[in-house]
This record gives sequence, structure tokens and C-alpha cells, in this order.
Amino acid sequence: MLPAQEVRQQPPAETVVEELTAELHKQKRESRAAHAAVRKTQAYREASRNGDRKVTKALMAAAMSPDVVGLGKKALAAADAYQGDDRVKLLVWAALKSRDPEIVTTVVDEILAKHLDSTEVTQLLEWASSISRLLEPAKKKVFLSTIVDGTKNDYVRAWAMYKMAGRTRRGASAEENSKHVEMMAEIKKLAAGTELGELIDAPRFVAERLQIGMEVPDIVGEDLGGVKFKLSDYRGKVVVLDFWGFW
Amino acid sequence: MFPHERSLVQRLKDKPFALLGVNSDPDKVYYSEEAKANGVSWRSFWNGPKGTFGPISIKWGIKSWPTIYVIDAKGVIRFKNVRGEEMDAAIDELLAEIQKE
Repeated sequence: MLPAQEVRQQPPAETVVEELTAELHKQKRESRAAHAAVRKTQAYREASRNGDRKVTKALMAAAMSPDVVGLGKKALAAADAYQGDDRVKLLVWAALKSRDPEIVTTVVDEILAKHLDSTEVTQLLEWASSISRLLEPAKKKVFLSTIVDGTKNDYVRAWAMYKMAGRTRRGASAEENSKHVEMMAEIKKLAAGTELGELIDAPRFVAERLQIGMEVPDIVGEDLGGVKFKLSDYRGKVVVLDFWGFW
Repeated sequence: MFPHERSLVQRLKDKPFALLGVNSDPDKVYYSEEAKANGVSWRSFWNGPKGTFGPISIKWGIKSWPTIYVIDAKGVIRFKNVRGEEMDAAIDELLAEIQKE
């Protein structure tokens, strides 16, 4: 029989991501509280009254902020215990939450070299423009095209193409325009029935399903306590549906 | 925004009315602390860990926050993005329709 230590298994990568996210959220809450406390100080109030932006900015900067780079490095280190999608999940978390050029470059390099087929890459692609801004120009240039050309995963390719299409659109010569239309048609085909498909389809959904006088589409989800419920549970009542948050 | 919604929920607590949210705070702990501090008693769908990029708001094409839909008792969208007194009037109109039937 193996000794207990060797039998012990790694927790699922998802659990590690949840723990890291909980730690990040905790630091964000502490940071918000610290900033709120600064706003109440005599020094801050006075500077604010005098319109002295330099002083108010400096006072705010001195307040605690989340250690996103530290957490990013922690995620990278944790990733070493995992392979495949699990590893990519942690790498992507590190890049997205830290927004640190060094971490982002490490993550993008590894993804482009080894993980082009992992669906987890789409999480990174959702933020492709802010992520690629942190890369060296040469890498930034090939980031999306390497994925489009190299991946065997249709959903990953759809996301990368969608982000590329967003770029070409701004160029807009007639030729580029027809290329854009062609590309969007292929993306729609690849992304049908996915979250990206819904994102692309949203303007049509709003026009065809969400106008005044139309029967409201149902929402099936859960509340903040994890209890499942539906918008249609409230049929028979007047409902104000409010998309909101404290942030 | 919260004082109006709080008083709305209070005023209509005995009427066939519900204020429902789609909440886009990615951090549930932060949400529950703020909800407590701000007297938020109404129910919300959670838009998931991606916050404003969650599945409900993506599907509904939400571009600005808050976005408001007022739905009548039959489930028909009747008003969009009404605030303050305008929202009160819209709700009262729809409540009166129920009474008439």
C-alpha cells in the first residue's frame, strides 16, 4: 500500500481557480474599504475641496490595492501541477487577473506553442484586445492569426476570427468589407448554439424578441443564494426587471 | 437608485408586483455585504462570475447599466428604461389593468 502522501490527489483545477478568485475578491473588498476610509480623512477632504488632484491621487495610491501580480504568479505556480485544459484554465486566469505584461507573455507563448486546441483559450480570447496590448508588437501581430491557423477546435477558431473581424472592420475598403461579411458568415456558422453565437446574435435578439409589445423571453437562472428560478414564475404580476450591480 | 427601489418595493408590498434584478457583481460576498448595507431585499438572477459579460446580459444585448424592462402581468414588455416617477406611473398603469379584468 502507498503511503498517504502519495495517494493524496490534486484538487480539481476548478477548485484552485475558485480559491484564487475568492482571494482576489477578498483583496478587492479590502481595497475598496481602504479607499473609502481615505476619502473620509481630513487630508483627503481638504485636498478634494481645493481641487488638488495631485494630492487626492497620491492619498488614494497609498491605500491598499489587490496584489494581482502576486496572485497571477501563484496561479502560474499552481498550474505546474496540471496538464491539458486544467493547466490552461490556470494559465488563463493568471493572465486575465494580473494583466501583467510578463505573465501575459509567458501564458500567450505557452498557449500558442502547446494549447491551441483547448476550449479554455476562448476565455482569453474574450479579452483579446486588452491582452494583446500587453504583448510585444511582433507577438501582438501574430497572436490571433496563429490561433486561427493552428487550432483544430472550431469554437476557439470562431472566437479568434471574431476578434480579428473586429479589427478589419475598422479598415473598411470595399474589398475588406466583403471579406468581413464573408468572415462573419463563417464565424456565425462555427459559433452556432454557443455563447459567442448569442453575443453575435444579440442585436437581432433585441430587435425580434425584446421590443415593447412583445412577450418577454423567459430567463432561467439562479439567485445569489443559488436557488433556481424563472422569470415566468412571476407571470400574473407586474415585473420590473432591472439589470444592475453594485460593482 | 436604491432609495427609489426600496420605497417602490415597500409601497407595493401588498400588490401583484415584483422587482427582479439581473445582478452582475462577480463577487457574491461583496454583493451580500452591499445588499445588506443598502437594504436590497429583492431577488436577482446572478449573471455569473464574468460579471457584466455574463450569459444573461450577453443574450439580452445589454450595453448600459442599469437597463430596465417593465413587464405586465401577461408577460408582455410594456416599457423600457423608465426611471423615478415615470417608472412609478408605468407600474401603476399596469397594476390598474389587472384590477380592471
